[in-house]
Amino acid sequence: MSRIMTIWLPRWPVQRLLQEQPELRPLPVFICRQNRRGLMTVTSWAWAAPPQAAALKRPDIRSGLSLAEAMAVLAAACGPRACRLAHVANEDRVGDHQSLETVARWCRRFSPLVALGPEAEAGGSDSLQVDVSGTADFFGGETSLARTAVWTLAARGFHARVAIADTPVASWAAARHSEQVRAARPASGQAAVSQTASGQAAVSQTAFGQAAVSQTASGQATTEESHGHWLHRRQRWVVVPPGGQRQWLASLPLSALRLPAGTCQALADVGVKSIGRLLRISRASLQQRFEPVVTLQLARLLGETAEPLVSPSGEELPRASHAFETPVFSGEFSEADFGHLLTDLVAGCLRPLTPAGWGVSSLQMRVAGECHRPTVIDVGLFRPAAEVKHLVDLLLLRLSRTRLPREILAVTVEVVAVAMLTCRQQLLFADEQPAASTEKVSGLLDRLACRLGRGAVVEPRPLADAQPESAWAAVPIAGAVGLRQPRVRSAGLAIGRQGYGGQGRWGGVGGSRPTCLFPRPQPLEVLAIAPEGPPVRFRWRGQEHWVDRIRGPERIETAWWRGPTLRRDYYIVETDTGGRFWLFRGLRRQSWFLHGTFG
Amino acid sequence: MGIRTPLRDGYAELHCTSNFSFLQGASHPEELVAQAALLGYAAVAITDRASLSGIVRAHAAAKDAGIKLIVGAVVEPDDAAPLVLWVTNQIGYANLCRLLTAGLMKQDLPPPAWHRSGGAALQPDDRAGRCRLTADELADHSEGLLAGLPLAWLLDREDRAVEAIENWRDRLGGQLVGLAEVAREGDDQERLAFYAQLGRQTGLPLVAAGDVRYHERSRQPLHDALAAVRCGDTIEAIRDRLLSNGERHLHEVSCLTEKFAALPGAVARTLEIADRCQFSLDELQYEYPDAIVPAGTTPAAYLRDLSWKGARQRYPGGVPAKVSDLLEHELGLVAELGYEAYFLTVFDMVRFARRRGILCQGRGSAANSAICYCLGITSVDPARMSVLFERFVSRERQEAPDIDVDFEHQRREEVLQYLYATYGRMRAAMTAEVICYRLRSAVRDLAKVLGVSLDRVDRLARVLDAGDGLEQLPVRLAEAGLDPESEAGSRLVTLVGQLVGFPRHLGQHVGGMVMTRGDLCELVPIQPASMDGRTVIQWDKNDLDELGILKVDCLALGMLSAIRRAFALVEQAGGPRLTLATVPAEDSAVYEMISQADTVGVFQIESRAQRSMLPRLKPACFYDLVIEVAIVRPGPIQGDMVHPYLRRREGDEPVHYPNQAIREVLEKTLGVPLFQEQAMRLAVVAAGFTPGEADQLRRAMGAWRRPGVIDAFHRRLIDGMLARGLSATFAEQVFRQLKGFGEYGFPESHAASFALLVYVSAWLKRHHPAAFTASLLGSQPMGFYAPAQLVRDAREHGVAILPACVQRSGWHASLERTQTADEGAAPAVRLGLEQVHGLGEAVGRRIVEVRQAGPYASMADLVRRCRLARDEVSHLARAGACKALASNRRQAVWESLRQLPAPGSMPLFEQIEKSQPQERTHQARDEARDEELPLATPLEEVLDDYQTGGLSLTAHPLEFVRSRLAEQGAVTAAVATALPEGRRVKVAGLVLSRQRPATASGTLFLSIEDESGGVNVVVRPVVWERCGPQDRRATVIVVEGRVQRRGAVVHLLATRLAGWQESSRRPPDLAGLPCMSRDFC
Repeated sequence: MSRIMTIWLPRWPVQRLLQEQPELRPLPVFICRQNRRGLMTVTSWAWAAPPQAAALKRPDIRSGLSLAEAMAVLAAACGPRACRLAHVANEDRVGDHQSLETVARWCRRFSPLVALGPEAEAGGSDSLQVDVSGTADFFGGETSLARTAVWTLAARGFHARVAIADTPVASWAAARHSEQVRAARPASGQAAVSQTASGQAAVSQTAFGQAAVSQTASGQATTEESHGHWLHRRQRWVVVPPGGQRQWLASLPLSALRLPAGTCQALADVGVKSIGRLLRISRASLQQRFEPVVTLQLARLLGETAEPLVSPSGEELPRASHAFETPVFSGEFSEADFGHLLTDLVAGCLRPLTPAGWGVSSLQMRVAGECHRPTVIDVGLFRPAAEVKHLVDLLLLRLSRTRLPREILAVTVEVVAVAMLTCRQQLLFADEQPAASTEKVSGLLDRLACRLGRGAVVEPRPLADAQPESAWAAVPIAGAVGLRQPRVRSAGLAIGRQGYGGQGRWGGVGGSRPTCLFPRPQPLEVLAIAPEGPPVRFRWRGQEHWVDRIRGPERIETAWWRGPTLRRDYYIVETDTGGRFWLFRGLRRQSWFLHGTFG
Repeated sequence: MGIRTPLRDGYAELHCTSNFSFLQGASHPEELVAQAALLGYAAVAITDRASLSGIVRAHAAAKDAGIKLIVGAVVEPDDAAPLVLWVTNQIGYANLCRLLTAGLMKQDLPPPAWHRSGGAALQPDDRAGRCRLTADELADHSEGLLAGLPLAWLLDREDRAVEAIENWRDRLGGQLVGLAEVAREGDDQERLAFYAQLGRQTGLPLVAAGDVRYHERSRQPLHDALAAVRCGDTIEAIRDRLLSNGERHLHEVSCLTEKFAALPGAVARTLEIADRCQFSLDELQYEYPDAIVPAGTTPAAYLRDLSWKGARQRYPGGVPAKVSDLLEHELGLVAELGYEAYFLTVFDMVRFARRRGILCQGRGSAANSAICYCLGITSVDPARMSVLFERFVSRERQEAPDIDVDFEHQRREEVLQYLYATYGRMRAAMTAEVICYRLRSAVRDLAKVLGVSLDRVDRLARVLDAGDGLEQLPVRLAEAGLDPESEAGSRLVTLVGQLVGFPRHLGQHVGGMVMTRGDLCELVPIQPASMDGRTVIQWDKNDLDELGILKVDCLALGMLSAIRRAFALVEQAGGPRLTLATVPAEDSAVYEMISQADTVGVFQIESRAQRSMLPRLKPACFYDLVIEVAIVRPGPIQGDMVHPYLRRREGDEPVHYPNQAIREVLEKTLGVPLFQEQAMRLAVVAAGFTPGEADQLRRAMGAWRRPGVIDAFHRRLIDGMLARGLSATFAEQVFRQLKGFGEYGFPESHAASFALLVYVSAWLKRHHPAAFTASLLGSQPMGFYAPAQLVRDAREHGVAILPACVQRSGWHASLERTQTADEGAAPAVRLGLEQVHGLGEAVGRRIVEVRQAGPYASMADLVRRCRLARDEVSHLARAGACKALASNRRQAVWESLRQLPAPGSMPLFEQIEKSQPQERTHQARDEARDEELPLATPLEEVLDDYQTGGLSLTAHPLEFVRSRLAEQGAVTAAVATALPEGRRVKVAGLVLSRQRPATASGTLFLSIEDESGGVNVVVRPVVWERCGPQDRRATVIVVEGRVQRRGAVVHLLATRLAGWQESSRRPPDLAGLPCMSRDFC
């Protein structure tokens, strides 16, 4: 009989962000993503530690709202100040996933077999499943294990809900509805708990309350569906005794089985609203009426069909580790020493991969210290690589920015993800192979990303927008170079014209946009003869410029839906010294700015 | 262009898109015209996209503002560059209308190739309402038109620019000019140079224009938002398709001369164009079609002949002198004004309906005549009414007579198609109705565009009361959880304020048909309506009024359908054969029933307001019904005539007439003018108006509000009355009453026609309640009450109601003799399959038809024989209509979920099944019975009933929470309504209707119902605003309030309202109950 522990980390993206930046705890935090239609939408949000006054009202913000609307809702519930405080972050699915994998690795202390939750297929997993068959005794029984999992995660700043049951489906359902399961446990279930957990359940009910809350102070108790606050004091773990799924989970809604919404509705129409009711219907007649997933999930719930857990990082991926005989002081261990050590380790990791044509696309290094948790360095590559030197360089780049434990016990290098290396034809005579240049670029990107952080390596993309500042965006270069989607539109500055079906003609007039656009317009002293007329003379960087020729004005009035309306008259001016500048007059205050230069 | 006229100062804008180019222009035509006048333009052209819908409004506004209006439109031919067309004379106008009609009628064609290749520029809705023309068609109809080619269109087709110009030039010659348009997009000088070069190359005269989309710069955001609405996307998402600035407004003339300095003469040429456009809508000649008259006779003689023939039939005992005088007088007037044809066409239409057995009845203003009675258009005897024919057919103005004819609502289409067939598509069409943005639709569209999530948009729309104005919007936003002060919130509020009142699309008027002698499509463009087989003109009722064009109203009336159906059911059940005329008159039992306000389902007098009036009015004869119909109208209520009448009728107040003439007018309504013609007559006898003037007065106060006009009449009226020795207070009172009548009053004949239907429906309810109920259920939607209340009322009157059942029901409700009852017992009503929500009529009728061959043996049999889709079976099963085929409803639903083999997919098995149906179905049923489905609780049964059919025959949902209500101290409606005046009480009920009459200054009327009966709740605005949005929209509501009694009428004056709170701890709750309320607020 297997036993599966599910660890649910509600609203994982925000949790991760707050864990990385604890200073955001007192602020409302929104994680946003640009949806298909270019709208910023909230995918996850929380206000971990709202002030007492704001804690009373709970804004109704769910994922999928546009950011502007979410702000308006927040303002309506908690006052406009809350909006000014709000911290908005971009969604980072890769980072979320990697962090979850880190937690998964960390959870190997409970059992060697740790998998990402079943929702990982849809992307954006927020739970882990651990096969704890036979390992609970090391932690003093299952209840104790569950509690340990919650507490130790809480100590690291994570809020988790934990359930242990016979099957992955059952434990997933129980974790999502832990309160309901506890409330509805059968009377005899009490005995079951005592048996397995030697009476600790009753203690834990009170014991837990303080432990986690001191970590994650929250004034609010909310139901788990409401999106606002995941942090509440209710019971956060539950243990379903072996074979107890039928009784313990009977009251849970059908959605806990992850059935399609339409199926749930159809079943509700005949009065079948809970798992218990569903179990009383014969499988044959369910099969006649619904998708096979219904019976499949039921079988999985009861353990009739095996559902193997798949470890995310695959145990078969190579790792190499070196343990020192005596602790080494990190201060005495030079970069060169690290270089040698890592070269050995990385080479060891690569050895089984290269013959098959695999390259490393993600690598992790762990430096274990005496009493601290290990320092972990994750390196993601833009393009799979199989060169030892490159990988070592990347690790060293990160090491130089990482604080190491004072005493080092062991160093481990583990391959986290692999991908096929791209093959290419060798050229006979060319010194520089054309394909090598992309390789070099990706190598450079890897190094830059390691040095500066992944989010710092960006490329500009043109956007179609009349406001020059918004007509481009810096997009993080994600994924492997060359695998990216084709560029949006190269002539993105074109503003189409309504009416007669024609496309804009902006690009056609010899480049009406400067090659160098300043990050923000610079105020200028300008002499203009007519109040609405063009500039005649202006000073920039201490130099007088006399205007020789001008083109314009081009009036831009836009962006009212983002904030204050932009109203500007742009001129392209050529000065007596031959410089070409892009000036505008702000129509609101009649003041002049320089916004860019040509060439 | 030809001779150069001397240059004058000034400018005429020749290219303005108003908001009648739906979702493109961002200003009303009136605003454009007024702004142009303000800026001192010499003229302004309204050129909408293939539309003249806004032109009449612009015409009226231009007359007011004293600026010349040029009539025009933009057309976009499939095979050439677009053109702005301007009308120079009447021929040109006729040509333009004909062109647009021809193009609009072809709008179903696939879009032309170049249009498809337009890519992003193609707006999703561009196909609907598109005018599909070719250059040749346009050239054929170009007489009297001038055309401007917007050269900006050629900018991105530079290589083909000259070709495009030559293409039009060959066809239009000197009628073509080039429109030079720039909008400060940075390359203005290059553009102007390009235009000038084109001009030199082709010799095309260049004219300045602005491509105006809104009258002032501040409308730019709205224009952007409308573009997003049109694309069905957020502004952010379409920002690459927005114009980059707000220059497309009307500019100062000085600005323009500067702007076009590089094109000398371009501004001055606008004036030349304006000079050449010498057409005004005032020149339009409307001619009513000739009547179909037998050979050898004139329309006048034929009308006279028919009228007298009719009169002799109406009065077999000899035509009374009063009537014959009246008839002669009217015939004279009609002949003088030349309206014979109008009366004859209406007669023809009615005769057609009679022949087809379609119940119909005339009403409306001109129907108030002896002619109409004699022709059989109305059934109200002029001998019993005082008739003021001039009120409707006036000498002073070329004013259209107005006859509305009501037809059975399910058969009106036949009459309309008859008219189309008689006059032809090019001579008859429906009047349009301009559907405008109202608060709710504006909020909905704009919120979506600004990126508010869809479910919040829904929530916003839900918290908005229909009576809400713009002032309430910020409050409502806050209630929906959006801060109105936030950026998004304030943007929404501002934009909504601008958008409300904008036309959104052209719908059809409820029944107005316009017919002409010549081609209608030379008077106004005609376009296909959204309904198949209908065509509609581009003008609405007000536009027609403004231009004095006649329309015949063919209205649909649900009660006529119900009455015909009831007559048929009575006859089927072995009763007498009835018609409107043969229903026994003046039955005292009927009046007794009416006096007790027992009138659920009866025409007109079933509403809350009417029912509270009945016990006070106690109608005892037909004329009392006429008064009853007329008195509960916004007009009399606003004019404060109801209470004086009631007091006088109850004898609490003496009736006083200032003089004998006034006594004659007002005597039959106890000194209170209740009918429109009394009010008109009053103006005549009291203030010395001519009848025609009196009618002008009424119209001036009506739909076409213009401040100056009313003031002039006000003065004349008051002076006239004072001069005749009447008191100032009396004069003011008369004025106030007239004002109320302007829009909402009934003419007497109108009221009389309705009163007849009131009587007939009441008679049916009194004597044949089962047939009456069944016929009402079959004619839904109509009337004030939902089927649930009709059924309830019928059951209270002892009519048995049987549920819908696939084995027994027809599509409509029918009568059924219960087997247990003997022959003499009253029949029961069997609900029809139409009661099953979500079931299509075709499917329902198929089930009934297939059953003729024998009843269904099982669910499987039903599905196979009727070829039902899975969700159709499921609708039936959930509604309980398959109970006869399964042990209970849930088993039936369960059966319906089974994946049955698609019909025909396994012909072999079907054969086997057919050979031994009994055996197989038994097997299926046994299998179903094995399943352990939870048995539905009675409450769940009732909730299912409500969800699937809107009514339950087993119980009322509130019965299930009665104990909890009792704990809260709530009593039943029956107990509450029996309490004495002033007692405080708490009642809970299912909300049946929310009503906020315009006349009640914000007071809201709620009808709520529990298992014991209904109660009416009066909610003052303060109380209403105090409760939250959930409470206001609650399905079940708990009301605390005070009992108010007036005679037999009981109200509850609410002091507190709250939605029913579900309790999570205790099982019975009403969470699944759908909202039953019909909202009239």
